[in-house]
Amino acid sequence: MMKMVEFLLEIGCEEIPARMLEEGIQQLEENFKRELEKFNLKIKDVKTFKTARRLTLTAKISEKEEDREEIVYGPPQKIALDDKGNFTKAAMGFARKNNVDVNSLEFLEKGNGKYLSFKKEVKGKSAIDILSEILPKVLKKINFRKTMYWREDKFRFVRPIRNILAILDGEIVPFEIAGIKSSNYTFGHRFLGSKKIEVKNFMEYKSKLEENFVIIDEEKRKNKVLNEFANIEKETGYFIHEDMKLLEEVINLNEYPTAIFGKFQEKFLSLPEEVLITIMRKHQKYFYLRNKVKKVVPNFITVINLPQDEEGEIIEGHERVLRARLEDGKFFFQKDLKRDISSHLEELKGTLFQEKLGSYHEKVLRMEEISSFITEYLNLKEKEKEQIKRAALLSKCDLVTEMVGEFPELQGIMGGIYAREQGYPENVWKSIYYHYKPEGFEDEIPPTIGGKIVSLSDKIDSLVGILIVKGAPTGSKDPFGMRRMGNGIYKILIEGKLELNLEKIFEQVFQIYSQNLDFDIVAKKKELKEFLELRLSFILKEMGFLYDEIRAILKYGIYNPYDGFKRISALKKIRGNENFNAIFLADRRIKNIISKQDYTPKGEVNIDLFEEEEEEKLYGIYLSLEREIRNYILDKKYDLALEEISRFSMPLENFFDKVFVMSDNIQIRKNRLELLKAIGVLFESFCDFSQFVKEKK
Amino acid sequence: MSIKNFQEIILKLQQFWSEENCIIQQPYDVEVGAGTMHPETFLRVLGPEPYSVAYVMPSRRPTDGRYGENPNRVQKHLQFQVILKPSPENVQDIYIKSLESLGIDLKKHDFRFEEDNWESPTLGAWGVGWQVLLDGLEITQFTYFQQAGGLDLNPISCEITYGLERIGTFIFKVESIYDLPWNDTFTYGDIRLQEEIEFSKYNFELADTRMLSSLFEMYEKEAYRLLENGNILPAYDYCLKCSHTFNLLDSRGAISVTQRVSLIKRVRDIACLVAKLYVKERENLGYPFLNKVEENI
Repeated sequence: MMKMVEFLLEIGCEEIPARMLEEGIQQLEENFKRELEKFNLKIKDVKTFKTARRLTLTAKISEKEEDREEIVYGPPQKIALDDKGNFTKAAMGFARKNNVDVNSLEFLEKGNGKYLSFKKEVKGKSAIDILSEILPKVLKKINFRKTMYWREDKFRFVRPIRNILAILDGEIVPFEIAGIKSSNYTFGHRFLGSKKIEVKNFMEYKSKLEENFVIIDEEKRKNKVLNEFANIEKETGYFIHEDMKLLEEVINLNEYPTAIFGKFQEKFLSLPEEVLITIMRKHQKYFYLRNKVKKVVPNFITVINLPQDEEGEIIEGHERVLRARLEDGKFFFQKDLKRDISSHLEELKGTLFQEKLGSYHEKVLRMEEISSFITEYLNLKEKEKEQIKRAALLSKCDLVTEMVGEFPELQGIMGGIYAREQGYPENVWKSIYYHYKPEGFEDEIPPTIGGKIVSLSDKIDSLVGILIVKGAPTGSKDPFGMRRMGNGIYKILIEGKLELNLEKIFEQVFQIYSQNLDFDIVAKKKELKEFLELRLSFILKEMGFLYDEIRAILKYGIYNPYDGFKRISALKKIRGNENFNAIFLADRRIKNIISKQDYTPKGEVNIDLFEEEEEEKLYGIYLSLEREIRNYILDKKYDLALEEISRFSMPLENFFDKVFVMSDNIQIRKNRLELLKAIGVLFESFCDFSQFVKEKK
Repeated sequence: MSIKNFQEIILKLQQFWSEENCIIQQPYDVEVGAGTMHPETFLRVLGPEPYSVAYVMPSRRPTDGRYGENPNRVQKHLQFQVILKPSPENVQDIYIKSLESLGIDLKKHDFRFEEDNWESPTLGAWGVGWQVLLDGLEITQFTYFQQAGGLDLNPISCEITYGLERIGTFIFKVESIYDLPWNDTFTYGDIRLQEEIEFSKYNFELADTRMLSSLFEMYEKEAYRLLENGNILPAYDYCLKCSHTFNLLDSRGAISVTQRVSLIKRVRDIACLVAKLYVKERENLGYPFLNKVEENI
């Protein structure tokens, strides 16, 4: 057993952006393992650490490769020996070339013959040599999503590398990259730590860095901040809004994070909470707090890169910056409120939505129309219809307000707030407020029916319009966010439990666009359908459905996703049970047989042509269940429909066991095919069962 | 020694960078939106010749005008611009020392480099770097230039752009830049407020958009005419004039979204051509600064 020794590597960089730390450290580990696997070294306990200024890896690896024996083959026996059994010239040459004594040669089997050979001792390479060789490759192969040059040698990395620590069992692993020679030095906190710290092993590395105000372990940094959060909560009685994403970010921005607590003037509480939160959270990376009655309080928490705010100057500085921001926000809010939100409608004529699709003014007119199609289908009350239409028309007015100009992430929300403050009915302002939701797959859908409809109108309008002028997204590129729009539409309809005939709505939207744009409507509809198929598959996959389940209902769900969702949910429940397996196997068989015929059966059965009992039985079941199944499907009682369909399993199995479909008697054969067709059509009214594959146990 | 007023910040930074072997240049006498547009940056970063320079550059951004009513936003602010070509290995440390020379004790402040990549579509230029935050206030943009005038750069220059008013509000702990002490007698407001009010009125209300539109065309034409005659530096002046004219049209709300893209491209096209010809010219001159540095060594 070879001795295992400790390896420690630290890439010291100028500040690595928080969002790229994870991809960097992951690749460092993967590349390291991959390069090392090419050698005969054991490796274990690989651990990585990351801070804004360093990527660190430590591992136990064997000191050197094991020595090993290799066989070197020469000429085959026939050629190596002459008639008398003496070595030939070829044999002598082989010995000479390899610098071995002829007498130490032997004949060893290889493949189907014996060859002149000798065994050679190969010394294992030392780990330190191997590391010197592979480490430059390990680093070069880290691909950050955005990289830079900083030297004339054109080496690329996320930010300049300024220091490399590489030690194996206390010894420096010598190599050089981007003009930096490896050493056994690291460096501490930018202002509180020493610039040159010698280390011998990981333990010492970790503890010396901590003395120099760098906490290498991310979990430890996080816990430090969370503890401080808990203390603040205890002291104030407030609750810090939980925000894991922001927490991760500040943990990665600071090598010695400390949470400090600040305040702002009460007068700013007159601003909508959404504005306060956006300014604190998005623009200043502050955590905000709420009191017992869930109201935002005039305080904030910022995480600094020092152990404390000794003289209170830091928090004062942050308070000053925040005050200026809030002052801006207040100014915009008051200014915007002076004008009725609807008065911006005219200005939208000067705001371009898309070159060929016109201004936002044109967009909201289309959205108004689309929303009224949707409200028609959903049979809403007249008053509600009017209000939702109004909301669609006003939904983009906030784009030209001062507040949204400064804080674009507040679009929609701000329009809703202004409408609320200006006395618009709840149905109107909430529909505007929520109409950007859901903003991603994780986000919630609008909680109100109006919000859902305006959101749908917005997304459907953009999706169809962009599809017409730019086409569906291909590959990884999706510059207009069409996939997100498609996902959003499906998410709203499925989670919102809305039954909508999307095909008709899309048709109407194509008609609107065809008044001003010249395009091939048939081709575009086909493109849209293909695009929607992918979106629906994606959404259902994310919801936990399997591919065969999705394929079985796909064509039923594209234009009525909530109906598709109900079908697939019923299927999911029953799948795996014996009867069900028999159904999809039978359905596949039916489709298979029928597809091989040169005529298409219509499902018209003649009972006089039955010969076998199984035929009669199967048809009997069909007759007794057909109407019921169709009614269940019409009533969307899919569980019940499936239960009935399952009752076909025995008769179908018996039929296929006993009845030979391809009878020589053409009449009889055709009649059997008609029977199968009738059943196939009935099944098809639920889903395409033939898509199912047997679950792997 | 502590800094007593705004102008001492400038004096101190000039002295600091002078001691770091920078040429101390003067502001350029054409309106620009950023210190980067000064030929001492845009042109000097091109090609292989080393060059280090520092200067104050008043930067005009007409749309940022607030009639003097906003405590932190102005249509003209002062940048202190440093170019280090090639970028030295300890460039971050040197920058930090410059802040310390202003009397800022970084052990007692929350200082950080936070990702912020800079891009100028009008100059065909971009770089990778950070914004520097001091107790949450952005005081500097720190960039490793990667491209300028559409050309890949080698060696890479480091650009450090201090927001002088921001640093002033930090050092003097004032809420409004107009309260900054310019010297011991005058405030920033005494000297600049009226200018902000009048220029805001001009930028947003009075600028004659028809005149500006035709000026844009004339400047553009002149730039190309000069370039055809190999008259590069004057052509660049006209490129800058185009850029500022564009900004004025923008603040008057006279540019639609579609026009914007094409106008920016027209300015960029001139900038890229200037860059190309400038590099050629330096090559024809035999890159004289390369020899200068060798002589020094």
